[in-house]
Amino acid sequence: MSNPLGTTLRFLVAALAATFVATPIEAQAPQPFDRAVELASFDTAWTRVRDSYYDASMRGLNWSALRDTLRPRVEHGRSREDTRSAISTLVSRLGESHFGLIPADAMDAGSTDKSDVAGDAGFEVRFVDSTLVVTRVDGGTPASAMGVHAGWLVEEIDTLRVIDVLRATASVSAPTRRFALVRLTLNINGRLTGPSGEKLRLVFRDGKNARRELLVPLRETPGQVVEYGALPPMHVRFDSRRLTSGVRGGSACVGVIRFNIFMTPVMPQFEDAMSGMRSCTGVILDLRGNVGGLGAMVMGISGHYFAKAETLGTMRLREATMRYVANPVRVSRSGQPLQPFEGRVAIVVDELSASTTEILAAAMQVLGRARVFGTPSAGQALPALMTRLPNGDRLMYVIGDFAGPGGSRVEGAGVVPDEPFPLSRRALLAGRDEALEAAVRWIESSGRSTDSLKSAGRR
Amino acid sequence: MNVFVRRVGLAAAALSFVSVAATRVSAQALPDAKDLIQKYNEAVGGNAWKSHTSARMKGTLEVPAAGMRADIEAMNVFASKTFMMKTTIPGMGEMLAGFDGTTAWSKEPMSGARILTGVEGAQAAEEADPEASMRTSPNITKSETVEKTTMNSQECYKVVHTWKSGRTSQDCFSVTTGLIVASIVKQTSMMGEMEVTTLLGEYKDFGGIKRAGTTTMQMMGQEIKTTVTAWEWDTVKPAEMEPPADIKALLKKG
Repeated sequence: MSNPLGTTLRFLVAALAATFVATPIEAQAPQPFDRAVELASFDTAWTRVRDSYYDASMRGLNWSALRDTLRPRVEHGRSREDTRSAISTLVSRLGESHFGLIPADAMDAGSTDKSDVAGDAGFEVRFVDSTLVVTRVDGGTPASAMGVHAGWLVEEIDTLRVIDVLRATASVSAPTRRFALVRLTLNINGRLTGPSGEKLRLVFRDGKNARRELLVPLRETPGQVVEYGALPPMHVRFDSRRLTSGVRGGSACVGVIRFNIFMTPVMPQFEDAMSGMRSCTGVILDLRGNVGGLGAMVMGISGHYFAKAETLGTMRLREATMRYVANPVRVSRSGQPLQPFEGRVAIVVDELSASTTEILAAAMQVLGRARVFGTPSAGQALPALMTRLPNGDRLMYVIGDFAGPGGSRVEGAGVVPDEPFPLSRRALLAGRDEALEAAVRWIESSGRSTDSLKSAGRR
Repeated sequence: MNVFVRRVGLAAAALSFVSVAATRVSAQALPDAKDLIQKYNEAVGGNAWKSHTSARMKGTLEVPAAGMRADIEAMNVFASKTFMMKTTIPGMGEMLAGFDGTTAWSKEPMSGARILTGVEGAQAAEEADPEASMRTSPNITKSETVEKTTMNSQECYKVVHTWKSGRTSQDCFSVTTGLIVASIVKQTSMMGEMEVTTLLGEYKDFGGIKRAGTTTMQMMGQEIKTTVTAWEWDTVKPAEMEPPADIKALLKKG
């Protein structure tokens, strides 16, 4: 037993290389201010990025000069917001998506030791053109019972007027606007959360464009709560179902798997779901709104679809270049023999599909193992870590660059669907999910089955 | 590539230009690697470990900056050279690695169960040999002292070990105590190879055998610290070395 720690390191390489998009964060009330602590926080952030950013040349920036320029903002600062502004400006100069600062208040607000139970409105929203549209309503929620429907427009959330935030975004330059909209969408979805049972004032335009003001009680957020390292608590949700045609002895089917984040509680559920879909014509991974998670999970997930240890992409760190490799599934957890799934695989993404989701989708697409449907993904796919600063804020910082199997970066470009389906309010109001329906049609058209399946239908 | 390796590289390049005589002088100034290893063995308790049948190490691993903490437990049965290690990370789950005397394997919640092959498998097998910790394993085919340097704030002699599999690792033996104060290993995983420098400290007596109480290392800009809470001898039961069902099935498949 020469190096038990070395054994652990094998895991840590994978475990530490998480890829995350920041969780939605609300502006928080300022905390007691101590300038020495704020300066230590700035210095910690500056040093951490200097020592861990994958490009030791710091993209040609004079990192010391940047410190000299920005540190005085903290030296003369009057609140923690000045520190946050200085750090955000510093890391923004590297021009990459996965740098972020999460206020300590936001982290504490999300922690599980509070008496409040986390809640949410039970529906999701996306921007379609210049409107904020409900894209999905979970059944059995107060919102659903009150008649909230996919396709409704959201005009106000509590005191926030959507038109005002959109106006602010319009002034952002085109290349940055996409990132800004992704952040904005995340933050607006974050505004649809709060303590369970609390009522949220919402103003909608319904299907007939009538104004509807509702006080929607927040349901208890479903899913398994996971607390991992310095990350805020996360609710892991997993859902799987089979769409069957009822023909061919009931064997023809399309499996649909949907989960919201790449954290390990997903893995056994994914294996069980795939076990029930072995006979299906194809499987759809619905990864819309999945903002990423543990990067190494792509090796386990993709292992259900590859018979060989295919390289899914490379992660360039300062010290080394590491590969994500599919680990073909050959046995179940209980030791039963398994074969990787041979049917068609469709992946559905949207603008909130980010990070680990993009790594998986890009790899499966480039390797010809999946066809991608939906709208272009977020283009935010970098390995990043999170650390706690002396003032309690958390800094998420990039440690690596990622390129897919073909060598192309996902960062910035995102995953471009093979079959693009921009969201349409009309389709949503009609109860249709065009991207999912197209994925089902594509799977149906494969040689394994030509039977018509029932409409996928948005649930 | 870290500073140490750069230095080795530069030294190697420089040597190609100096005279043979100069090289001899340099070599004479350094103690023989065998003597350093023997001194290390004496310092940690010699062959005392051979009076036992198994070892169990318990400890914690922390990545303070990332707010991550893990419990680790490693077991080694000497006669069979079998090895098993559990690392439990809250929020992630249990990671297992093992060697059944013939084949190395791993199972973790992110990428699943697999048999280790190639360099990764060879490294795991070589490290499972209890003599590997003493640097007396027959799996080490050559050990050579390459320089006197300072690592972990201590003067030490750097020794390069060549293993049967062809890989190399390095130890730095304290000039004063003879203990290993730093090690450099290329750690291989399915994701590739990463060179890691580990600093060893706080050697303690665990039942008549001395082992490092703490190790620290830098990886991906993070400091990783391990604190050993216990070394137990002769407490490993055969059932504890049983791999999980999926690994058993994979081992059977071959």
